Amino acid sequence: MTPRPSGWALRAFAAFLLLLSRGARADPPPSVALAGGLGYAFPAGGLERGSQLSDITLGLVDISVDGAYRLHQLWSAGAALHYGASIPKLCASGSDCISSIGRDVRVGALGRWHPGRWRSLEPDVDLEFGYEWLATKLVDNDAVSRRGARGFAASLAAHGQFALWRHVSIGPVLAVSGGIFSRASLDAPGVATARNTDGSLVHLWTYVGFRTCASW
Amino acid sequence: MFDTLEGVVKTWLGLIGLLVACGKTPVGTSVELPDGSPGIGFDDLRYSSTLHRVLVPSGRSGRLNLIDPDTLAVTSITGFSSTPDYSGGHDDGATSVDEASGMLYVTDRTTRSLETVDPVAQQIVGSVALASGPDYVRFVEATNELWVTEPGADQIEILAIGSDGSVTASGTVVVDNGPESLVIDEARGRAYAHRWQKSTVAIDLKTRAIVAEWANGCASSRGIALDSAQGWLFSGCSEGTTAVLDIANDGRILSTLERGSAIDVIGYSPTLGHLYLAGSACSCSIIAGVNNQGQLSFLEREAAPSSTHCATADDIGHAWVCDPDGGKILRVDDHQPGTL
Repeated sequence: MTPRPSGWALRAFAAFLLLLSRGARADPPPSVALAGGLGYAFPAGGLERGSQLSDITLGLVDISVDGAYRLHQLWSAGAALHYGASIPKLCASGSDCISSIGRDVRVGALGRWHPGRWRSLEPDVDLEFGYEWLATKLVDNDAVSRRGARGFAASLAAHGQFALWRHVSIGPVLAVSGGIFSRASLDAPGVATARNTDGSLVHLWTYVGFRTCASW
Repeated sequence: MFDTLEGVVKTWLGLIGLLVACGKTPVGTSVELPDGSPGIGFDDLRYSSTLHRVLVPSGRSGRLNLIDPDTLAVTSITGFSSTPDYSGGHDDGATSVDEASGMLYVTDRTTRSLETVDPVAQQIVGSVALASGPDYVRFVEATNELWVTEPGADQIEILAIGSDGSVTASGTVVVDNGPESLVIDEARGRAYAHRWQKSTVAIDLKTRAIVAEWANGCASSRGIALDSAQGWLFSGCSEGTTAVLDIANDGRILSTLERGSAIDVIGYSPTLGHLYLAGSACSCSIIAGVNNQGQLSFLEREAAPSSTHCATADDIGHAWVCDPDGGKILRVDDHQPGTL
């Protein structure tokens, strides 16, 4: 027997079509958007059992680029790359602190929701899924201890884009990125190991910054 | 739309607030020390099984405090250098202690001296000037000597204990780029001390020569502990790595554990096989276990004072963690099962 769609499903589908038709009646939106962001990400959560992300970094100075193609008035799809310079928690001298800067790299595919436009404000919300590589280190004179962790990550970001010119907008970003590191490594004097992490703990980066977007 | 955004912002702010609220109260039973309120620059903490007391050189307060691990009663021996102000470091007064033949030997950083303390009379009964600023003092039973690390001079100063109890300088061992921490391995006739980075040296107690040097897993070497029966040396790194070195196999690293941050003085319970770590950058105390293969595992993490950096173990299932800014010591009950 062929299952019949429920009343709720039919109503939801009808509402979705209505939403699409409303979007379709508006002016054609730009089809491509490229953006770059700069911000700071605060660490929280667990790296693994008994280890906090904030144990090893004060946070990230984060640079990001993303590109998205407008699939519809309301939706875009694209990809993003985030590179964060990890500020070390421990270091003794200025030169050691500079040398101890680590990195957090995240790449992902994103879906973007464009809820509408209010005067010069055109906000959007990104949901991104990807993979993250964290590398921190401590340099003490000529000695180096490197720690690494990697795993899947997801993020939710809200952009408040204000139009500057016809194709350029700028605005604040508030985002939270979460993930679970599944592998960890250590490269230190006399030891080099790679292993599965002890437990599956969620870590978070809470990100605030600015983003400039060009679209056409 | 803005309702949605507002909701998202509120959710994030709530999450951030929750995380901030997780800045927790230190876990453990607090032991107030005399004149501790300005803060005390603790460093070395020890436990004497013969006295059944935790030995706490108490920096600027000018005291050596002895804590009964059961009742938490404090016996305070005065007469060390004192200063009313706490500078935040551990450069003042009594900072290290060891026990030998019924006496306690305590370093005084202010006067650069080694004080002999009679724990029964509860007073200082002798004093000898040191060649340089002291860090750790350890007793060598095999030679009836006291070894005092003097990192400012890159050396260990050796002092002989005479039959009359007098203490006299009798030589030095040069440890370039060190020595940091010191532990005596009577069974193998060795002393072990770190260089500040990368490695640990093994020193023959009789010839006073460096006979081996091993990579210790640390960029910044700090704490040291020994399981003499198992033949394991533990190195604690400031960056949070703890490593087990196999003494019988030229210091080969058997395992590592990466937990905490700004780890300094570490404690070890050979009966439980538990290591105790305390770090200021993580505001945490950590219990790690080592099994009979020398493999480390994480057991427990608790909130600790933000200034903590030192820990020791007693023989009845407690870790003791310093709280320099509070001028207190915390007793942390170790409920974890033994791992050896």
